[in-house]
Amino acid sequence: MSASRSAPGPLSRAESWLDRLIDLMAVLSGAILFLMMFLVVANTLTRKFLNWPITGAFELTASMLTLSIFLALAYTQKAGAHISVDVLNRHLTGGVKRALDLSAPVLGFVCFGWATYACWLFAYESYSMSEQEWGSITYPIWPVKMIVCFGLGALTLRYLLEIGIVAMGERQGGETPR
Amino acid sequence: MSLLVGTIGSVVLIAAILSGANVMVALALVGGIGLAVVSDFNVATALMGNVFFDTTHSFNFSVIPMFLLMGFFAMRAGLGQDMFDAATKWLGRLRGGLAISTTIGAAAFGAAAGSSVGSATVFTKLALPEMLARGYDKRLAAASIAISGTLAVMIPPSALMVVFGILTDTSIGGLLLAGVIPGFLFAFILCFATYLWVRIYPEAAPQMVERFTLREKVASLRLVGPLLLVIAVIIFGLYLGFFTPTEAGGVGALVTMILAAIRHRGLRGIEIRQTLLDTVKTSGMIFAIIIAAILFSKFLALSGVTHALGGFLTGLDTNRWVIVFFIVLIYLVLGMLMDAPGLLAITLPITHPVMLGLGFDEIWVGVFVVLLCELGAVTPPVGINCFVVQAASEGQVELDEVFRGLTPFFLAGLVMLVLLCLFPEIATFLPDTMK
Repeated sequence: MSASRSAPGPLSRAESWLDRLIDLMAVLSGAILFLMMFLVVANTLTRKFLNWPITGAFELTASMLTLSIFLALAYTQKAGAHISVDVLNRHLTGGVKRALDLSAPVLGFVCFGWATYACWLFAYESYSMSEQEWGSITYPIWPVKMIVCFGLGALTLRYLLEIGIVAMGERQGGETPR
Repeated sequence: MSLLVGTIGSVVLIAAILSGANVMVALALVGGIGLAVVSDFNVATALMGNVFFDTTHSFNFSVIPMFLLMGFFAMRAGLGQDMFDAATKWLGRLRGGLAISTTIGAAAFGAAAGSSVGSATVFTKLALPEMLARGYDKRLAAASIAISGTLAVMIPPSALMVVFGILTDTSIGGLLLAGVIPGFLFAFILCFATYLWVRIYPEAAPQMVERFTLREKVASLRLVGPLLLVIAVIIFGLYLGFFTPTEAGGVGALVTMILAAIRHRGLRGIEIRQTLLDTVKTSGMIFAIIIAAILFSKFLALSGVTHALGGFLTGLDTNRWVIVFFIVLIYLVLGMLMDAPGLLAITLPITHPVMLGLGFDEIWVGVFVVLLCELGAVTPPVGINCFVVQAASEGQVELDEVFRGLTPFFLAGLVMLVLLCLFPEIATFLPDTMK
């Protein structure tokens, strides 16, 4: 992070607003995970000791995993937890380094933009046919698929803002926002 | 034509990753674009929607966040401290006793934590200052922590074993059990390597002067006892078919949370919010890699590269161990450059079918590959555990001291690899006899 910095530009401000939403989504994701832990344990105990598994625990756990992962995906990116190899990158300077720094959010935007589109088609089809999750309980599955799309969309938007921020020189590529 | 596209895609992937691209983005983009070229854009898009949803909508795969949660609670509970204290009281007076205690403590903590990086961080904070204060050679002290951290990915619960299971469609319960004997055997070999080091260079580890009474030794087990019991229940529960891996993870996470709450006298000290955020962040990273790897492996399969390369290697008129030797080299070289989940993601689509085609047991392959990932985590220039130890040491050791100290432990790892090849039952015995 650079030592001195002027007031954040408009794109950086937009990013900080988006980051608040992303933080909120991550907290929600954590809460879902916490509930999932209790559901798994309760189902294990009732199934083993009372021979009375919780109806729908299996299906609900699967859906909770999906929600937890996609609500937290943008937070993972924000926290810089995705894996990359910087053996070459850290030895570069000047224009080549700048181009590589800019290429990271561009590639991320293309990748997750495409994934958001793909998951939107997938979710919309599910919504159109009122698709249900069938198992020991039945519930509509399209809202879960929509959340997948929402989580990917937030990540795509974050990459888009990052492209603008790096291109406008509001921040250097690879830096973490304040 | 498809084969050419597949080959170009593989080359582009390696180049992109070496250029610093996010591993997940590189895998998914090369996979997606490759699928669009060998089939068409609509097919690739439809497949993408399916893979993103289906990979995460699974009860069985919920085991990953459960294991991660258990590990983060174990760290909050200070279980590493308890393990190290107990091991020091029992083994500290041996020559090199603190380094040996670190290995034993890390093996036991690994059984709760499942994270190589987490384990290395905890033990750098705990064991490094102790060892340096008692005049241990910096190389021995730092390297013993870096290598001991890797035990966490072999000994169950191991998130990396689960990642292997998901990517290769191998029994997750079987893989977890398969790691038990190799994990503890590797810990023993590492202890022996430390012992030999200190026999040859006694000045590397001055003997501890404090004595502990039997009462103190037994008292040290008071805190680690409940955790060891939980670990035993999980391993036997899996072995006897009492638990599914997800259930074992859920129970383990809840019990370690309770242990943490007891230690901190309430829930406030565990920082549940931060623990959950750490867990969802790591889960997101791992699932992103898994999803991208599945897309990439579908592309490789559809382009015919997997089939062609597998057919070529398995059709060679040579001993299968020669091919295994080259696979080991691939893992060790790539392991120098990237973290374990990324390494599994880009290599398994090729190496797994080849190993199965050569007649190896799929569970054994899992243990073998995870062991290679462990060694990759300590080899320069990107041996992640070495960076973690150096960073967590806050200037007490230099990176080159960590790397230089690792040579005997790396050789110990190679001994473990050879043992695994000579006696595959080390890995397959427990899964073969599980209920």
